[in-house]
Amino acid sequence: MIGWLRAVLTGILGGLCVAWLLTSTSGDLDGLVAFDVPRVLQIPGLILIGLLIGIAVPVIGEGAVAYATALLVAATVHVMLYAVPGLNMANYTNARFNNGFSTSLFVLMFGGIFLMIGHGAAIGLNVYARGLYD
Amino acid sequence: MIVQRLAFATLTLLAIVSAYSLSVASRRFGDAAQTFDGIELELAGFAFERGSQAVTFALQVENPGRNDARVTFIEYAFVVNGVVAGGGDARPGATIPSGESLVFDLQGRINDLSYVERQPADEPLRWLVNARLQVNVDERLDSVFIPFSFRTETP
Repeated sequence: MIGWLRAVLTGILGGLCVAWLLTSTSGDLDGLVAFDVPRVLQIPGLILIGLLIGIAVPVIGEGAVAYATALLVAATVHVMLYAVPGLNMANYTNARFNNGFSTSLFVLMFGGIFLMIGHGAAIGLNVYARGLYD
Repeated sequence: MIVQRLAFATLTLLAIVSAYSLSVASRRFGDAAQTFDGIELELAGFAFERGSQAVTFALQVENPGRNDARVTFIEYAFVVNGVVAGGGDARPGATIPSGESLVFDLQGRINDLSYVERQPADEPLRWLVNARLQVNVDERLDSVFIPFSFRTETP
């Protein structure tokens, strides 16, 4: 049970990292983040986060849960960046919600591909390391 | 096991930085959206004399938002009695501080003067000014156009 909780927690942490990376390197809000990530690090960054998730959760089933959680959290956080300011405004436009929604789909698809590459590499590393220890 | 913990710790550190960074982005985006949505435009004067090509008008732009608003470009077209008869543009490059307003004195030109002169002299000219204002409410964001229009009459 702790393993699954750890997987979900890792997914949440990874999702926040993915949301930051993709918000900082693409879309309308790229200049607004407190710590800007250079665009050239977008894909290597996604792969690295996938690698970290895969290493932090070495069991494949739990790793898959962490991976899915990371993507869902990243997309949700990304759309919330656009939606939350609207909570305090009477005339917040639908276009901003739509924009946030479409870019969160981008986060899901684009992030998913490169996160999976990193995750796959981590699975390979884990299998290799296990072979060394056995 | 150590590698596993190191990876988890790295993710945790990155996530803390991410959460802070994203919250700042959301707040900045909210301020920019609030400023952009709050901008109010009002016609502060309009003058045209028959036989002249020059149209002068004043536009008051109020910025009640939290950010300063920089007006970079204004473009307008004059519709006189239902027909587009002229227009103009201006590049004021002026910044309206938060909570203040600014009046822009603008000049346009009637291109189709013969059409305007053919209008009945005993009836007022009915003007529709279609315009758009390019505003930047945060230098880190792209400028956005605000479309607006107003109606007025001149003798």
